Amino acid sequence: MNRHARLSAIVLTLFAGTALAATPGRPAALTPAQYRALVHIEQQPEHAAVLDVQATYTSERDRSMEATRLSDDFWTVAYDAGLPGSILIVLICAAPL
Amino acid sequence: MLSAGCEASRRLDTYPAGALAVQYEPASDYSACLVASVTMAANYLAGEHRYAEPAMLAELRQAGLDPSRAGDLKRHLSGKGLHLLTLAGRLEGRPPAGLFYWLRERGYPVICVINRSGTNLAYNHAVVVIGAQEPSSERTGGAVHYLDPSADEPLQTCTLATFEEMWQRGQWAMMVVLKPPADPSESDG
Repeated sequence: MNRHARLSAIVLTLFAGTALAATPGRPAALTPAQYRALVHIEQQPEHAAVLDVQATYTSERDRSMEATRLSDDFWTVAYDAGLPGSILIVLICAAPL
Repeated sequence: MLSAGCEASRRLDTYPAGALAVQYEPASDYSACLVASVTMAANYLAGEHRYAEPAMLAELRQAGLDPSRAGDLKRHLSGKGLHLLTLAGRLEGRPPAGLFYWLRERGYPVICVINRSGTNLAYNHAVVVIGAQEPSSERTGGAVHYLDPSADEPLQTCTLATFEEMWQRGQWAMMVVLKPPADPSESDG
């Protein structure tokens, strides 16, 4: 039996019989063995990768606000530079293309 | 009400039947959705409003930790006697990574990282799943109910298919705030 299969067997044994007729009113406490099994399982590579997951953005509203800010910055520069200056800036930025 | 750019999540006015009555905690900053989500889950576990998002966010920053990174939240909670279980989850009822297992059989809210906007990781967002309805035998229906710490209308619901797609983009990241047993080295018997 390989390691993954052994872990699966352990999990099923430890957590068998925990099905309840209804959702518990309070979170059901873990036994020491269940806790140790979970700590061991989360160290497996597929689960350990979650440690590096990041959640930073909040909503579509913030994404659109950032786009608006970028647009505002562009038009502020364009206004300050004037039309000839704006055209020159665009040509310089587009040069690598 | 549909959230712009989102695949049909809509707000709810009341907690759905069977959903966990998790007290809402808003994120005070664009980078604090994970902190707010962890705060909500930790307070539900404690049975009282023991933690506040602004205070936890300040503690994380003071400790030089990244409030948006799961591993750093795990480290921070361990100092408070809590364990942040971090797993690649599944939309099923089998332990240990089944979302329905933790919600329905053990009564824990589940923090999930979703992405409504596509594959850009910059738009990963943490929410707290408080309830779910599995599809009927005809393979139709099914819904996931969650609290969004950054939305104007915090209580949201979407279809299972929609949630599955958003969660997959979030790399199936799933977190559960646990209270370790008094002596984890003890035997059960």
